[in-house]
Amino acid sequence: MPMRCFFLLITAIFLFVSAGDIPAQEKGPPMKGTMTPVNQEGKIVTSDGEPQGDTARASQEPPAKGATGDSGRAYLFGATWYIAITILILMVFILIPFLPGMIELFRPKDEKPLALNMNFSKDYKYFGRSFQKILENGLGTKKITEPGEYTLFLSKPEKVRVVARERAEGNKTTDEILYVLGDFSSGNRAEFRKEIYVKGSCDIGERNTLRALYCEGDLVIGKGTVVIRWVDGDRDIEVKEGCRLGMSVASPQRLDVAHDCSFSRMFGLPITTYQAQPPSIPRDIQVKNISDTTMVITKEEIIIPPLTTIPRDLVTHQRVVLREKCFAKANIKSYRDIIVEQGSRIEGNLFSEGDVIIGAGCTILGNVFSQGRVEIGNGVHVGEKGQIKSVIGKKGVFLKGNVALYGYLMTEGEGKVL
Amino acid sequence: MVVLILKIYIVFVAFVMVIYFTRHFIFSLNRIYGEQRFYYQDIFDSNLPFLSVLIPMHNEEKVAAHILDALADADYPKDRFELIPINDHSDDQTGNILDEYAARYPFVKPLHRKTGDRGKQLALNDAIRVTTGEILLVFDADYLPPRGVLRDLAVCFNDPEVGAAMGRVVPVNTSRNLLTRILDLERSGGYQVDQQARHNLLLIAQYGGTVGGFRKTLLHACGGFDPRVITEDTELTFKLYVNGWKVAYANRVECYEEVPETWVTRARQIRRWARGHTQVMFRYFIPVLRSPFLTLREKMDGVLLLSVYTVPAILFLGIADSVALFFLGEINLLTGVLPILLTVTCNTFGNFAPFYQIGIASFLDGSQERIRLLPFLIFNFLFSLWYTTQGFFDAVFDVISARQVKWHKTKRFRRSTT
Repeated sequence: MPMRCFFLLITAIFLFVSAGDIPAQEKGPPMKGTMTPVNQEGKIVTSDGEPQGDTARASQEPPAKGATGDSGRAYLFGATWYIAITILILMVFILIPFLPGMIELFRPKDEKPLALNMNFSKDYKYFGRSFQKILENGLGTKKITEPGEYTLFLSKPEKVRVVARERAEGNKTTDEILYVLGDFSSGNRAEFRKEIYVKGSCDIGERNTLRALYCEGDLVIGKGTVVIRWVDGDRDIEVKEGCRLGMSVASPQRLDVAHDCSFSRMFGLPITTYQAQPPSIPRDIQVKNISDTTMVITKEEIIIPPLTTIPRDLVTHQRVVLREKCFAKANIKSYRDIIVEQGSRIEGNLFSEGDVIIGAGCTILGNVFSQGRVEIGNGVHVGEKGQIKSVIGKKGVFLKGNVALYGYLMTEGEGKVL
Repeated sequence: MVVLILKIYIVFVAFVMVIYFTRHFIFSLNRIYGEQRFYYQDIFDSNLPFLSVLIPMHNEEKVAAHILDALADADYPKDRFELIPINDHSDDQTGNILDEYAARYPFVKPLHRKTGDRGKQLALNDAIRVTTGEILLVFDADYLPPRGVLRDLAVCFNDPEVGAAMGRVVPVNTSRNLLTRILDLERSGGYQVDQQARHNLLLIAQYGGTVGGFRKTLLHACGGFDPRVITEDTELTFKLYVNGWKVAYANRVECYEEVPETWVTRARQIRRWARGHTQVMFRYFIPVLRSPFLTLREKMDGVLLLSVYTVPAILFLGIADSVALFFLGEINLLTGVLPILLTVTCNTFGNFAPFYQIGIASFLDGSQERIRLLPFLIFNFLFSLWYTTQGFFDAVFDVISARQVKWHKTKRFRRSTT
């Protein structure tokens, strides 16, 4: 119905406009005020000023009585064709942009609603569990107890080698999926181009290249190893120095990462660096109270003096600096940077549109969320045992020294243990 | 004098259109080339707030069971939320369906409203009195939320400045007819580009009254929902912003909804939206400009957002104005060159900019074939122009006559479980 109305409207407008556009000479003699040149005697002249001949004059004279009907019919006939052809052309021009849409409308290829995963539930071990599910569905892995070779149908058939236990040689490349019923280890500089699933414990040598690895037992990843996609474990994971940890490394237990490792996402309870024991949480800070007991919303830069207690939420459009050993009982948000100097304790969350810099020895019991970078200093403790918290730094997360985080750590930019 | 006023109005119309198409282009370009801010859904936090999930229902027997099933299957801990479907004067089987679910699930606590006036705002006000959670989430009855939606919405309330949260709405019944397909495109543009760009640019993200939530204490502080305002969601958005709170937009927190399948239903819906939105504009135009909590860019965006349903009325009158000037013989080359130029600009780009935005949204959604329907949006444009203009004048007459506004529910078209 609207389409019909639209076309009718366009047609009506065009009929109206095109009727007015018919050249004046076809309608009869020139009217006063038109641009036809005449001389001083009122005769029609050429563009050079010479009088036109009889033919020209005749064409400007009113038609003879009997001739009026013929020329009128001719005019109407010509005008009709003119209008019809013009409308046709116009219709074609109007229809052209609609044609692909009409094809899609009447022979739809993309009419289904945007696909939403209705069962999606946030899971730090998403990759590992998905791989587990694929293996279970494809191979019935719960029933596999004997070594052998199998085929798994993914986007194409994939060869799966099931082994009791495996010691992969160094400097060699493996091109098949490995399913290891016992323990697994590898020499130096081994390359695994497909996924590995290990039911026992796992010891990866130095400078290996792993596509993806799931380990049900303890896992050690050797120096300089490169993970292309992900590593998931059910127990402790230890990552030696200089590793590149791909998209995700996750364990429901301790994840220890040595210096010079890079990462995008990590999950551990806790994540520690430098094989350090999680530092104890300082609970007895001697502090002064600030007088304000309401939520503070301000557009000014705020510098909190040392040993100050901040009892309520603090929101500012400028930078916030908490000097040494401050104590925030609630949340802090800034549209610029948040700087928490050494020895401070934050019981709430930190939200920043800029960077978050947490000085040495601080304790953050809430989440740290930054649209910029997060720098965490030596001896910092985020979260606590029995709780899961997150450190999110969109542009980067840098862990400097001995750090312990209970939960999740994520960045889209550079993640580095310095 | 009249002609002068008409001419000034034409220039004004062109000016308004230029501002809005610039805004559309800024949003579109931001989504393609600009920096994308994170939402909070990457945060893992074991301390989840207690949620009260409200579902206003009036004669929703076609859809009630679907949303209750979906929310009962949510991955949010069952002891951390309560589900309060509000049976608002239903005279079909809705009440019985709710009672069945209450018997089956202890966290389903239906509220039956049989006295007093009917309406979403009144139903929510009554339900809020019986809620136990500080965070209130609201879903319309025709929505189909995925498993993880509650968690993803709840997590943003860790940010002390967030007063409300809003997810993305995705039409589920796209394949029904031309209208549903056009509305699918329109929703894409509205959420994938418009809302997300406002989130990126720290502008006014809008709480849409469903797939979202807010803090109970804030609503109490604001005096609850005003039954005289038919778009309670828009009013809450501006109540929060002028008082220093923000709305967090979560583009990845997606939820299916049912869009109108007939033009009549759509006409009523958009007329109601325009009327309510304009009511809010009358109330909050000055407070937005005077709020000490809003930045200059927030104020500018707030004014443009408040006036968005006024633009069709302005444009409609502008078209009438240009027709009047044409018949008065006042649109000529010399005196009319500027209005003509600007009008052509507005007609070319003012209409084009939203289409461009929708094209970008479809591209970001990975849709390919449905972009071909883009030219058909002209019908929706003309249709909306007419009905939003009516809605605008409804609101004007509401103010003049102080008449009581009645809530009209959008008709449901659900045929079976989707």
